Amino acid sequence: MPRRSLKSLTYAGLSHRESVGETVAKRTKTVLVLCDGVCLFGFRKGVGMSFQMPGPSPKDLLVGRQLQSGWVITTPLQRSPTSTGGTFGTGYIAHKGQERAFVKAVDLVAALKAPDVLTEIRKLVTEAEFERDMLKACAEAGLGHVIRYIDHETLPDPSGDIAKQVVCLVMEVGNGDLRNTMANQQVMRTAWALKVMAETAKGIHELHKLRIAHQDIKPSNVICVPNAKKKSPFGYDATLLKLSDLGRVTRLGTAGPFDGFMFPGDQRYMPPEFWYPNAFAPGVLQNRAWSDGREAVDAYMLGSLMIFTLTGMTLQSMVFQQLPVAFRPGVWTGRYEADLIDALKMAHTQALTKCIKDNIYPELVSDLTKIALEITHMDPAQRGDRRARRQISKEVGMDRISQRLMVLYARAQAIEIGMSRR
Amino acid sequence: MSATKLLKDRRLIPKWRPVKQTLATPEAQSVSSSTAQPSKGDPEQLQRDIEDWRENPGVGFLGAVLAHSVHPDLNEEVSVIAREALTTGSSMSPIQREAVLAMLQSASEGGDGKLGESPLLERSAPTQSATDSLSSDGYTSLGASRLDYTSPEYANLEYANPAENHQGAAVRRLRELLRENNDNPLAWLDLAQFQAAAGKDQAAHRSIQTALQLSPNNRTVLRTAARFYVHIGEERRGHRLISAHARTATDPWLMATEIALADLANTGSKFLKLGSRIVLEGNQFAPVHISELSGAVASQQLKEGSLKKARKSQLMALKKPNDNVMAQAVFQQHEFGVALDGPGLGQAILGSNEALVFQHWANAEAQGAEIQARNWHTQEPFSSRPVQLLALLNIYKADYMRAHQWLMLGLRSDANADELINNMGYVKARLGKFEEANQLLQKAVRLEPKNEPQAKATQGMMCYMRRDFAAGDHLYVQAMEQFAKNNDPYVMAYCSLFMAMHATEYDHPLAEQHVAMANDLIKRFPSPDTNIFLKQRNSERMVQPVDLIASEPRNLQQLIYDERTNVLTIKHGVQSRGTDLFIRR
Repeated sequence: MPRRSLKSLTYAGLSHRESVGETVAKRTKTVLVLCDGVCLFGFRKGVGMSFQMPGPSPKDLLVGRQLQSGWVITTPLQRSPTSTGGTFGTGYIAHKGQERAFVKAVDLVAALKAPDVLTEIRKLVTEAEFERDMLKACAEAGLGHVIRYIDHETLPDPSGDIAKQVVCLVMEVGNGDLRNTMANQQVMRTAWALKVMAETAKGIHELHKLRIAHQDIKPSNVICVPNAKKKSPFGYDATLLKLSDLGRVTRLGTAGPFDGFMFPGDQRYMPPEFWYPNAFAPGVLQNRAWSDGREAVDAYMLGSLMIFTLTGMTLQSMVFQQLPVAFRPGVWTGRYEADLIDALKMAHTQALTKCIKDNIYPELVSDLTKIALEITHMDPAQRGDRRARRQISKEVGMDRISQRLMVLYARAQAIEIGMSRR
Repeated sequence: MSATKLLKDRRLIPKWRPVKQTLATPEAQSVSSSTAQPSKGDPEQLQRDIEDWRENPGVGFLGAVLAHSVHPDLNEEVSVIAREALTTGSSMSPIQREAVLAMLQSASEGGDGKLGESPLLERSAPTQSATDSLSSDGYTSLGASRLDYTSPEYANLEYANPAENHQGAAVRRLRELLRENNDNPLAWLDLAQFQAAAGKDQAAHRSIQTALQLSPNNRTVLRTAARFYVHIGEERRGHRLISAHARTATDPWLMATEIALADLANTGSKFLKLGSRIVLEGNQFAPVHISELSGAVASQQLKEGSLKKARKSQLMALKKPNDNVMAQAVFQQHEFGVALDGPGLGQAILGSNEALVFQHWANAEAQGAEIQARNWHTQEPFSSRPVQLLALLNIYKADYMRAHQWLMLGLRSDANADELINNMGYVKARLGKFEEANQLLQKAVRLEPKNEPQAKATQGMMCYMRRDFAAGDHLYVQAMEQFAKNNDPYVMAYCSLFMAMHATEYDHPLAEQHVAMANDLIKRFPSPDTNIFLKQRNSERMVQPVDLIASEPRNLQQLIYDERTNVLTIKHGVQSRGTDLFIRR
């Protein structure tokens, strides 16, 4: 089938970059939506679509199916651990010999039931493709702290119905996310919490090096992956923490489905500048520098993750406890300026100090508080490693943050070794 | 006549409360009239998180559920899960437990169920005053001679009492906070307040400067800095700071500060005209935001003799007054000739310790005045005004030791407060330390020549104590003549009262004549100060208190009840003299 690759599909408002079977479309007046040469579905021009898909969606019925790459889908996950990402998918565990992988399956059924079918399909396809591209880019760059992309393919429906095809993303599988790790612990051990922070920071830094901002860093998106290479006295190094769910990322210089979103991530972990949607003049947030607008979000979310790991509470709810009512979102009517920022700073410093002081070895409190205050600064333009921010490039400096956290992790380990010997 | 003749004139300069209190007042809020977008949660996500928690009832999953509590629309549902987690003994971290308990308490109290407010750094009013716990032990252990504020030990004096310890703990916490993060202008303001209260003006100045450098556009920082400059006697500098600031032209709170400081610094106000226009139009900002501006404009108009205009501005000020405006209104109630009762105002007075002090003082209710003055002192520990009133109340009760302690406390924060030094001179004289008393009185006169008649009166009392009645009479008469010359007959009457009291106390042969003269003067020039003093000295009622007959005030509002429709309407506006507050139709 002759096709032009990467042609912009403009029919019926579809404008994403896609491969289109143009010849077929012209001759038969049918538009085929293709993903990497594979036809996802087709419809006649000017004819409204009405798909009736009774029962479960094809993406939920993949147990026992084998992908062309040899992966056999074995166990369904109740809900994809990465499902809060851009693409709504179903998660499975797949096996290939001794190897295990995570498969994220996406189909078009939900989109076809939506009132605005084309928009939904466009959204779905764009997001799935973008996530795949980002994962691929990370894998190609050899990022060690981002979940590894293995493969992707389209699984045809046994009935041959092209509308029931399922796109599968095959990725590295972990032993659950941070919430699972915290499930049975009332208090997180300092060294473990610092390891989580340091490795997540490393993952963020790796992404930042590729000019990718994750923007949805939260406990469910930090996956514990077994690491057979290293062993430490407490077994901390037997696990590697990796960032997953690149469904909400934005990449500098690459158009993505979330470029227009000021904050595409989970609002429970969002930075304070987004708590007050009316506090900025139009365009201010959108026109910020990359480091202030996107990378600074990751820095804040790392800090928020730290507080969650230590206390089981989000930083947002801890700050709310300290914030006078007049300054809370939904009440404050002014701009995100000095009056509000200073009140937030006060509440934020109190919250952080309280969280860290009671949950970390006293020897590390001061250093960790400093890091936490820097990466969760209320002013996004100042958020990040203080020294890095002072340099001409004004980078967020996640590499420095990661190194500082690594040092603290090593110190915490040393303290724990000392304690165990006593 | 103001609430008391014994305090210097009051102006509507900003109050310098602990930051936490200031942030809870309208003066820290935005003046923007736009409406805030309500914070909406994600109920579907909450449901998913609840399901996850039910499957894995651990810290991590519970935290994900609790995170939704910041959204008012999801509070109820989160509270249910919080209660369930608590009752089923679900695994939770100590901070989660604290948050869950606070949430449930808030929900049971009919609150919004949001995560409760933590009392971190809250400076609650101590249950005992700064001197209450200075029991005989605490005081005598220091030794009377060591309490001399001029002595070198004074600077390092440590009070062994809860209020001071409370302050010490708060300072430690603040320092800790600033050590971790010095980029916190509001914490610097709180530290400056403690430093100012301890008399460390230079350190306080540095803290204020740091706050200003960190946040040069923050209204609270600017107003506090201006207030601090007034405290250290650099009113012009404070005025320059506010009048030159770009924000003042658009901010009614800063405008009010500029007008009050211009008056204090005896210089022209840059924003009086604009402020008057804003008050007159009354629709540019919400009433709560122009309350202080209206009050400052009203005070200026009163000073210029435009009573009618001043009353109108005062009416605007009292529509939604803050504690500062209310204190000013009570202090100047008789000048304005307006009644401060009716719905809203009574409640507003209750919210202002300072206003309550003046109100109790005017009603000669010493106990109430003392309690409120202590609260005022807790709120503004650097201010000499509450301390002066507290010292006076103890002098009236003849509790000179306690008066001495209050004065010590006041002088620690402001070593050059002439009125405190003057009173300290009196107290020292009463304690028999004539030499120290004379030195202090001389210093008070040196700092403020207007203190001369008071100093003479105290010297007259010392002569009485030495049984040198002729010299005492001479000095008292000189003092009273000076008061009369200064057109201050109320203080002259007040002075005559002390003369009569001390003449009786030391068996002056002409004591009866003095009492008669005091009675005569007090009848002619009664004041709240003489009344509160006389009520304190029940056993020495040679001089009779006189009921203060104020001219009938005008109401600023009228409550009109329509019996037919059963509707109560509040009509705002300066009413004619003698108009009833409440009328039926």
